[in-house]
Amino acid sequence: VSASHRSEEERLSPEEFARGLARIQEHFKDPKAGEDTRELAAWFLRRYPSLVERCRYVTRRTSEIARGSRIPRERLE
Amino acid sequence: VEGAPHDDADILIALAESGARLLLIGRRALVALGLPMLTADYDVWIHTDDIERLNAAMAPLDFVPTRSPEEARSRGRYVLEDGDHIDVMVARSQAAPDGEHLAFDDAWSRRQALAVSTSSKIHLPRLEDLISTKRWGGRPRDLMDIEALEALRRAP
Repeated sequence: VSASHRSEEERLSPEEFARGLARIQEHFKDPKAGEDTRELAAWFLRRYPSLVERCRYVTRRTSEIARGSRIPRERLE
Repeated sequence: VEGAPHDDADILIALAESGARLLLIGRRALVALGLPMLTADYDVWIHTDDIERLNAAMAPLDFVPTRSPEEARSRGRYVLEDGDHIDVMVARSQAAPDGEHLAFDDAWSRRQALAVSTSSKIHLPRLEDLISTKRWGGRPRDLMDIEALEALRRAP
């Protein structure tokens, strides 16, 4: 977990990042792309209708996961 | 500086009622919009003239700035910390790796509001501007966040 997390934090070269952006644009040419994310968001907003509730949930889950995986706190900023 | 963890309600209300021209950015903004992303901290972008106002509003929660207002203005960012961290960006504008600029005043003029309580609102950049802010970091996790935001942006 920590190795993959570390790779998520490493800054990409401008060219690598541009390629990532291009991949995202390509992905969304499919009109159904993003449906899972929209469904997740709809569930999250129903389950935690207020901003405070959503932030409390994320803070709690982040703390639990960081404790369980020993991800350094600064990598979750 | 280490204190007891704060209730998110206290942080959000203090930010919202600070009187600073303040935009919630970073992963907390994604959470605000309904995306349950892991994050431990808060990221905000404020008007460069409002550092003192924000610091004064967060002081009752024992948040301490890591830099003087003058130093923060020259460096473009600082942190408010007390165990919890609030990363504060104060740049007038910021560029993505490809050179695309986003000015605070422009993002502020297009902001959206979200209720924190019955009497308090916090502001976020509009979705397109929030996507622009996620281009600043240039990390794989920023690409993940952009993909999630693009999914919301393309909602039918």
